[in-house]
Amino acid sequence: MGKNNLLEKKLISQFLLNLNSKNYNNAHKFLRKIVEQKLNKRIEKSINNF
Amino acid sequence: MTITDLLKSATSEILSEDVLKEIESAFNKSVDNKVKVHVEKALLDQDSDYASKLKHLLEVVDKDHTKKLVKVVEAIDANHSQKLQLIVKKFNKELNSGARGFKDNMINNVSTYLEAYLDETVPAAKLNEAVKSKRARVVLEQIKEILGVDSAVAKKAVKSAIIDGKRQIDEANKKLEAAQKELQHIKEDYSYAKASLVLEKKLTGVDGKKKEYLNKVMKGKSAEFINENFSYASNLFDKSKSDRLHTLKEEAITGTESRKVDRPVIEEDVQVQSNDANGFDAGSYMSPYLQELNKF
Repeated sequence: MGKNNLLEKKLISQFLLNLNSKNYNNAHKFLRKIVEQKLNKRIEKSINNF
Repeated sequence: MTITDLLKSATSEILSEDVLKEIESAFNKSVDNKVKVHVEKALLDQDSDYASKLKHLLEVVDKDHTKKLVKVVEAIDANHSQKLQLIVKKFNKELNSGARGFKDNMINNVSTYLEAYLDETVPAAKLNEAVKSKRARVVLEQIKEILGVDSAVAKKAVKSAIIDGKRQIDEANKKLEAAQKELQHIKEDYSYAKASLVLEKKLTGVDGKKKEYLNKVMKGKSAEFINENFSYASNLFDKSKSDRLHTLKEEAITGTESRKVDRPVIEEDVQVQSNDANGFDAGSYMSPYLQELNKF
């Protein structure tokens, strides 16, 4: 979980940096990755609860 | 006392007034000129003196101001340097701790917002349902593998082909059933025609009532039945006829009125005929044989 959180923080940091420098395409890619990461986490949790 | 008065007293009024006036004016002019020269000289001396003093004063003031300005500049430099050092320290501090805290806070806020957004758009219940569905699908696939159901069977194209094949088989079965029915009808028609032909052949040369009796008894029966039972029915008719004649003879001898005796027999024949006319009835065509057998 800690590793995932670290990766998620890095992704959000990259997303904010790209957003700040107006690289919207890259920002969109990182946002996608962040959402995928979060959804994977939720799915994993749901599978564990199943 | 003016110069005119002085000259008057000194000369004992020798000189006239005009001379005295001229002398006075000349004297005054001379004095004025001298005064002017002296004044100019004094002014020049004063100017030079003042100039030198002013120059000295300016130099002193310049030096003083220079010293003071140098001190002020040094003080300002020191102050600004100190302030800049404080700014640098503050900037480094903010960059190292404050910016990191701000960044972490920002990341947490973005993460929290995304979590809330995902909570709203993808509810946990739906996610659990999707997981269950996926799990069920996986289990189904495993069951398919265990049961040996090929995945190609489950494909749509093959599935449609199988459905089409089943439809064709159903149609073929329906056609076969119709053909079998038709064949059955034809066979029945054929056996009926054959039986009619056999009966016609057998009835050739038979007289009226017997022909009518045999025709009614054998009508609707199969050719084999007619072949097997025609002679027996014919004999039966002949025997019943001879029995009737014998009975009539006896009744005639005893003198009893026996004209109405034939009626029951005729009625029996009529009943048999009516039953036979309705079709193939086991009870109807078996009753004459049973009646005949009861006689023995």
